[in-house]
Amino acid sequence: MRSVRPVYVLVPHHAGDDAGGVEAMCGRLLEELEELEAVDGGDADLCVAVVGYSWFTRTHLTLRSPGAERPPISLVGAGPFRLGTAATQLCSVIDADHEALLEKGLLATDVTVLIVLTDSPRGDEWESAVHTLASKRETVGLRLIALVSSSVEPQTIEDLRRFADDVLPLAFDSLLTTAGGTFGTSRAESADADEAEFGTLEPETLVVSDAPAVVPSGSSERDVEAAASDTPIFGEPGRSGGILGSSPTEPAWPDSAIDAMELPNASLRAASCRGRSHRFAGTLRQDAYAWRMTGDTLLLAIADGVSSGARSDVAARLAVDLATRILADQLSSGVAGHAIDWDLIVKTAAARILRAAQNVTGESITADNIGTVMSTTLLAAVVTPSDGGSSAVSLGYLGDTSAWRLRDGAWTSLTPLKNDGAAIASSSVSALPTHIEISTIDIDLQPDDALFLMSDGVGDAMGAGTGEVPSRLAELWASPPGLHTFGSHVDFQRKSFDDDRTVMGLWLRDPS
Amino acid sequence: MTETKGKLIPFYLVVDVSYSMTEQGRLDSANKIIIELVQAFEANPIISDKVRVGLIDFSDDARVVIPLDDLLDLQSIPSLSVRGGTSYGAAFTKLRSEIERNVNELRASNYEVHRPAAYFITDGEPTDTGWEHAFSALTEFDKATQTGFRYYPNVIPCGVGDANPAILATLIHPKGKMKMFLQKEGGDPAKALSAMIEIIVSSTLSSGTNVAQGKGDALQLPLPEDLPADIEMSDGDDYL
Repeated sequence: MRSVRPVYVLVPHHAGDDAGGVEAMCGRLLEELEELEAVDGGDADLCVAVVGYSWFTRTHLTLRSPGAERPPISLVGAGPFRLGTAATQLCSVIDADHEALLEKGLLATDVTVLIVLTDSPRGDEWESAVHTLASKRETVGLRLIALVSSSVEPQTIEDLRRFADDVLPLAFDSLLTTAGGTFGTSRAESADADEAEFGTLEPETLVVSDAPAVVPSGSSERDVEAAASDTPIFGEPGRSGGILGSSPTEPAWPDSAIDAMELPNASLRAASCRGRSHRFAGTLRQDAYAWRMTGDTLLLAIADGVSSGARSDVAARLAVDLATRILADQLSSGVAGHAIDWDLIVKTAAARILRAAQNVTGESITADNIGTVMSTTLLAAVVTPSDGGSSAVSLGYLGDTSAWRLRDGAWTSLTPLKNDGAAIASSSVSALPTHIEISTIDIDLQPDDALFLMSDGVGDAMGAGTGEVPSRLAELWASPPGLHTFGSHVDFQRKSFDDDRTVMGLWLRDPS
Repeated sequence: MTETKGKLIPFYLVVDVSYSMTEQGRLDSANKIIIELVQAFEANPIISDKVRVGLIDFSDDARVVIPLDDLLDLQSIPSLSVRGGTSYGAAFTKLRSEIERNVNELRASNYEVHRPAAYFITDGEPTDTGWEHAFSALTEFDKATQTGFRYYPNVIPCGVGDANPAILATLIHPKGKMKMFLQKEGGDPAKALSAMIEIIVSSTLSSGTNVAQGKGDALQLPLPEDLPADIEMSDGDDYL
């Protein structure tokens, strides 16, 4: 089996600013590796991957031979530098690459990890994550080298020495020379005597991982395979119609969620899918939904995390969880749907979101500057059955998530239309926790009406309720579709509609 | 609007083609703009579905070189050539009429149009007088009374060579929100132009993404730390 020596470079975003930027630094690194390989050959091919970290971690270059074609590397993102998250992520990347290599008949030996630090890592128990990374040397040949700049505290350097084979000063001009020529001095031992049968190994570009690198949008070329998608097409699908994304960085929060429930007087369907722009960029879905029952009353909530906040998914999840919880509390203590204390809900959600943002950034965040971390809209509904299959619905809404009624194939908007009649569309939106003014509306629904709560990923395509998308949806949703089918509908392809989408649909019927 | 066909953000490039642009390879750099944008768009289907680009050149008069369109539908990439003086007035007047025509057409086709952005690229001082009126007509709008040009663009001036920073500072619109880019003193105009093109491409991509993701501030300009060398970014206060 042929051997390869992977080199993983873990580099902070904003590193190398004084040396022409990270792209220049990585370019030099790759050149050095190429030279090294040309000079000493070795029994195993070098291949390299670049992973950037700040308060999030992202693979910018998947494993490939130093001379292979690659996109330019452009790192964006400020501190704090969560080395723990990066080290944990790197462990998974190394394991996944190991599998991928084996599938190609290649064996990874002598893994080298270069951790570049330009600042002391903050919080997130990085020592234990780096320890886990370092303990890979029990199963595979691993060299862990830390390259630290002068701004890294001595205590951090001491801590690093417990795990790293070497801690060296960082010199952007020559990362490898700094690393003391540790490359090329040890040879991978050929585990397989059959190697002789292969003769001279021709240097060939060894691009290992087929998964597209997760790159920041805006500056790199990559092959996006528009996978065949079986979701319905409304109008023109656009070039991005069939995109399936690279995985989000948090496996517990998947690309899409679906739910369905049958009640005596209603059918519920819910679906939340990552939008194509998040799929393309490899970032998280930032929409969320939740539902709960209290007695006969059904509580629904959806939230659309504003994407200028990198962790708005957290805000959205908190908002729907708290909204349904507090609504349930009020109802079970006897408060009627039309008398709900909505202010309590928004104030509690706002406070909770603020605390969550402070946990994420470790800095003082106020409701005014929280937008870059997280913020979210919220729409919640209290549906109380009344006689003869009708229902009383109380809605509370903040931001541009919308509610609609579908009756006899015709749509009526229950919340104000976004950008209605505006000459130039504005993308600014009211969101928690900066805004806490919630609007409410009470309406009655008849049996055979259907209520839909939508985030603007679908709401924008609805326009004023007429047009191609509303007509197609009215047909598809004339009666409750199956669990998976509903999810597929919500994920429809339509050019330029790339936002995350969430729809909760409730079809009422006369129980008798 | 009965339905929304889609969301779009129009980007206009307004490029000086006065005689001085033949010096020191400036025009060669400028001619790379469209190519670089096309390449960036090819790699990014999300953006190319949402951003429309138009190119206007100006000298003694202004001409539409590429009408606002989906760049990937371009049959051929035109090159710019020089022809005369530097009439800022002609440039602003042409830009205004193009924006008005384009946005009206897009709205009539049921597109949701976000505020246009215009990059104004010049290497010298204006040779005409009275151009300030054309600029006001392009950018002034009173939301309260709805008077002026409701489709006014965000304007980002980019100056190389003998461009006058004090004049360019008056072209930043809206003041306080947009910035201008200037060649660093003693620098090479062609290099500075190339660097500005990098910025134009990346802000086009990130703004397109912002619109895609429904972000608040549609036009995103780079952070100071992300600026390429050779140019500086300014909000104009130092020059006014």
